[in-house]
Amino acid sequence: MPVTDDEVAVLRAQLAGDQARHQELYRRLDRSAATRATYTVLITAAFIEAVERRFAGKGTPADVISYVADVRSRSDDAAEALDARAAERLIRGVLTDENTADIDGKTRGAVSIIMLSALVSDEQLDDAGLDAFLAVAREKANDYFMRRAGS
Amino acid sequence: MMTSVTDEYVAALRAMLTRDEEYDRLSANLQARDGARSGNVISALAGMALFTAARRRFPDGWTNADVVRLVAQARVRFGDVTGDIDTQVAEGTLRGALGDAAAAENLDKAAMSIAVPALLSVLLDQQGISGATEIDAFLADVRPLADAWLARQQL
Repeated sequence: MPVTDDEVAVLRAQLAGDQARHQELYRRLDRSAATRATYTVLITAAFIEAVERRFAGKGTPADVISYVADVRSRSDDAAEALDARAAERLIRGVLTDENTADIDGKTRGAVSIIMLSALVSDEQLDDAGLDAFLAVAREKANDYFMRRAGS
Repeated sequence: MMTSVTDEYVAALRAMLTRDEEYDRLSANLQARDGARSGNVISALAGMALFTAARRRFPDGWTNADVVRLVAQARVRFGDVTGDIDTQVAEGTLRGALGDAAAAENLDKAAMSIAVPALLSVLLDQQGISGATEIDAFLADVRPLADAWLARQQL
């Protein structure tokens, strides 16, 4: 099932920091299990793209520990909500072949969206840049669905 | 028997602070000689060392962000990719040393014993306490605090 414009719009609002619009669009989003799964894959694809951009050529374990701590230090809520070890492992999972299959879905979801928001915020993208970023993430997500359908 | 800090215990803490492999032998000898009391003394010394180093590091107060960053610095320093230094335990331990007693409640003791030396290593390094003279002066400040703490426990 390919990613829809509505799903991209929901994530865009979140990453643009427009919480009111994000909540409004999220409420209107089709909440079927299939849509929820598609949206989760979109977030994961965006997380992967953001990690690859951020850590391209400088993704040492120390860099990852420091960055996750930097994100957790930005607010008490972030420190509380973000599992440091899981975040580090999920980032390293993108950069290396580290197996993260044992991280549960709830933790994975929380880490992905918090880290994704921070990574995109740090990129300081303008509207066009955010659209381009989301286009790549959408393509990655759709590639995933096509591979899965073909297997 | 009254439990107090002796020179042997100070030597053991010194070995811990300098990452000297002798620490394991010294602490094992004290454990063999003094039994459970040795754990109390070493805990008192290490705890007061952390208390002293942490409060000197943040003399004007601290934030949760300070704690998060310092624990990360400790993990980077020790190349802790696998999470041997438990982030939550290390942060709770450091908050406890800085005065947030509730943060240090119910923390896993084994995890704390890994976190404390790592935290001390970074805290002392950041304060330039690395040479023999500086470490001896630091230990001289910590010893009476540990003695007082042990005395209070025995009232």
